[in-house]
Amino acid sequence: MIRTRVIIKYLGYILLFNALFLSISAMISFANDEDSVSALLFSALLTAALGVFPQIFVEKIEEISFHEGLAISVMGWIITCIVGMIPYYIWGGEFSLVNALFESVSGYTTTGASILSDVEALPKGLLFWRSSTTFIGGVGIILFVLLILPEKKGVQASFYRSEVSDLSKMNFRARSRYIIRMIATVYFTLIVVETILLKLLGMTFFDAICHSFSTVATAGFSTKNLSIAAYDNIWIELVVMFFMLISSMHFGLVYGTMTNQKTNIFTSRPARMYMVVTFIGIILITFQLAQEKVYGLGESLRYASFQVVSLVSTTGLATVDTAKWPLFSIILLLYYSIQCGMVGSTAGGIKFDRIYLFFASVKKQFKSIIHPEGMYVVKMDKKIIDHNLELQVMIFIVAYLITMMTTTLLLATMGIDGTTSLSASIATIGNVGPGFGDVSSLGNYGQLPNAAKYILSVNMLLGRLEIMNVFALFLLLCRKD
Amino acid sequence: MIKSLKIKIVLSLSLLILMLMAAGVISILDFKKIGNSVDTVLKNNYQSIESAKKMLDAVEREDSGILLWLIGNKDSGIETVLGSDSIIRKAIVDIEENITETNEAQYVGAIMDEYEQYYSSVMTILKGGYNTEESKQIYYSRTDSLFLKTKEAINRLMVLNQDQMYRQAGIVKEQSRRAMMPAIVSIAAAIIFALLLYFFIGTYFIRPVRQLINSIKEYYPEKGRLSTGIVSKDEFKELEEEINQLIYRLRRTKNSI
Repeated sequence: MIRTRVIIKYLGYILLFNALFLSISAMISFANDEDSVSALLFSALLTAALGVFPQIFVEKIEEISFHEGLAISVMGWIITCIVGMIPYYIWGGEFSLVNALFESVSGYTTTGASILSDVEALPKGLLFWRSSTTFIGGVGIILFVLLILPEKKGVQASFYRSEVSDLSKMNFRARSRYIIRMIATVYFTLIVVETILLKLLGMTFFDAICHSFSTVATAGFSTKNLSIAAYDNIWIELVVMFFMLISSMHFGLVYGTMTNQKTNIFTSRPARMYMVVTFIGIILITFQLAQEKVYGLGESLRYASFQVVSLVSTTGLATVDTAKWPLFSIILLLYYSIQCGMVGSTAGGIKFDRIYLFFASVKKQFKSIIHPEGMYVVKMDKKIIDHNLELQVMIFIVAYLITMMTTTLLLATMGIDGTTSLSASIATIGNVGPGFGDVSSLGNYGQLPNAAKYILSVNMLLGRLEIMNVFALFLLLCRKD
Repeated sequence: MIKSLKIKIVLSLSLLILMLMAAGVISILDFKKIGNSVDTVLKNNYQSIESAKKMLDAVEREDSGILLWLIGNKDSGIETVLGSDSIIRKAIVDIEENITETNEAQYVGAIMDEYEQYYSSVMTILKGGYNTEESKQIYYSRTDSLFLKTKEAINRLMVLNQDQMYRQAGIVKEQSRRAMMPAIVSIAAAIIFALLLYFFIGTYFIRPVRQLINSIKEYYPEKGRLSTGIVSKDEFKELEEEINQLIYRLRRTKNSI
C-alpha cells in the first residue's frame, strides 16, 4: 500500500532542495543587479513554502516501501521539473509556458536541449539556475536528498532500489548508503577539478562552474550562444572532452580508479570496450571529414573527437555545427546518440553496457541454436548475468526503440522534416540534446511547434527515468487494491 | 517534530500568508519599476523628441523668413529668422541637457554644425549687401541644401529617440507581464496549498475523529484499553490517552464500590 502522506513528505524535501539552489541563483542575480531577482526570489520562497508545508503535518518516517520509493522517485522528477520552470516563466523573454517547461525538463534530465536562440541575453542568475538544474539532475535529485537527510537506512535502500538500475548496481560493491556517498564523492571531485582547470585556462569563474556542472552532469548547457566553440581554445576542448568521457563511465569504476582499486575503468571489460568503440568512431569520422576535405586532418581530428565524445557521453556541448557533416558521419553520430555512455554514470540513452549485454545474449542464442544440448550463460566482467536481468535489458531496449519511433512518427505528423523528427526524438529520449536538421548542435528547439515541445519534454523524462519505472508506477497506481 | 495541532494550523496558514505577501511585495516592486520606466521614457526620449519637433518647426519658419525677405518683406523676414533662431538655440540647449542615449551627443553635435552653416548662409544673404537676384542665387546654390541637411540631422536625432522609446515600451510591456506573474503563480500555488490542506485535514483531523468515534462505539469494558489506531502524537492521541485514563479511573471506582 502506498501512503500518500509519505510521498508528499519526501516531495517536500525535494522541493526544499530546489529552493536552496533557487536562493543561490537569486543571490547571484541580486549581486549583479539583474532584473531576474524577483522571479528567482519569488520562486525560491514559493518552492520553500510548498516544501515546508508537508513537514509541518507529516510525522517522521521510519521506513518506506519499494512502491513508495518508486512513486517518490518518479513524482519527484515531475514535481522538480514543474517547479524548475517557474523562474523562467515569471522572467519571460523567450520563455513562454511550454518553452519554460521544456528548458526545465531539459536541464533536470541533463538533456541540454534548449529553446533559447540567445543564451547570452539571459541574466547571470537565470544562467546559474539553468546550470543548477543540470547539476541537480546529474546524479538525480533523490540521491542528493538522501545524501542530506539523516534518515533510516531502510529509507535509503528503498530509494536506491528504485532510482539506480539493476545493471548499474553490478559495479557497486557496497551498501546503498556508502554507494550514495561514493557517487557524490566522484561527482563533486570531478566538478571541482574541472572548474579549477577551466578557470586556469582562461574562463571566468562563473563560466567555469557552469560548464563544469554541464559537463560532469553530461547535460550540455552552455553560457555562450556558440557553446564551447565560443572559446576557440583547444586546451579547454581537451579538458571538457576528458571530463565528458569520464562522466559517461560507471561512477563505481571511476571511484575505483581514483582510489586505486582492483575494479577500475582499465580492468573492466565493458569500460575498455566502450573506450575502444568511441575511439573507432573518432577515427572513422576524422577519416571521412579529412577525405571529403571538410577540414584539414588536424581540424578533422579535433572536431570529430569532441563531437563524438560529446554525443556518446550525452553531453551535447559543441565546437562545430555537425549538421553540415557528410551523411556517413551523421549516421555514426546518430548511432552514438542511441548507444550513449555507461550505466551508473550521469549519461542517458540505452547505455553501452546494455548494448554489450545485448550482443553477448545474441551470441549465447546462436550457440544454443548450434549446440541445443549446451548450457550457456552471459557474463560481464566475469560475473554471470541473471536471466531476469538479461530479459530486463532486452525489454528495455525494445521499449526504448518503440518510444523513440513513436515520438518520431508523432513529430512527423506535425509537418517536421524526417531528419529533425528522428534526430530530435533520439536526442531527447537519450538525453543527448542536439540532433540534426533544425535542431543541430548550434541550433535550438525554439522553432518547433508547441505540441512537439510537450512531446519531447515527456520523451526526456521517460529517457531519464529509463521508461520502465514510469510504466511500473502507472500500473501500480492503476491497481484496484 | 511539531505535536500541537494548533501550532500546525497556525504554521501552515502562516506559510500561505507569507507566500501571498511575497507575491504582493514583488508585484508592487515590479509595478514601481514600471512607473520608473515610464518616467524614464518620458524624460529621456519624449522630451528630446518634443525639442527636435520644435527645432524642425523653427528651421522651417526660418526658411520661410528668408523667402519672405527674398520676395521683399524684409522687416517681417528678418523678424521671423531671428525669432526662429532663438527658438532653435534654446531647443539645442534643452537637448544637450538631456543626452541619455548612446551616440546622442554626436547627433546633437551634427545638428549644431549643420545649423551653424545654414545660419551663416542665411546671414550672408541678409547682411551681405547683395541685390535680390544675387541673394536668390546664393539661396538656391547653398542655403537651400544646408536647410535640407539641417532638417535631416534633426530628423536623425528624432528617429534615435523614437526607436529608443519603442524599445523602452517593449521593456515596460515585459515588466508589466513580470509584475503580474507572481500573482498568477500565487493563485496556482494557493490552489495546491488548499488541496494539501484538505488532504492533511482529512488525514490528521477527520480520520482521528472517526477513529475515536468508531473505537468508542465498538468498545466494551472487557476489552481493557481503548485502542483507536491513531498514530500521530498530537491532541487526538492525548485525548485517546485521557479516555483510557478515564476508563481506568471509572473501573477502579466501580471495583471499590
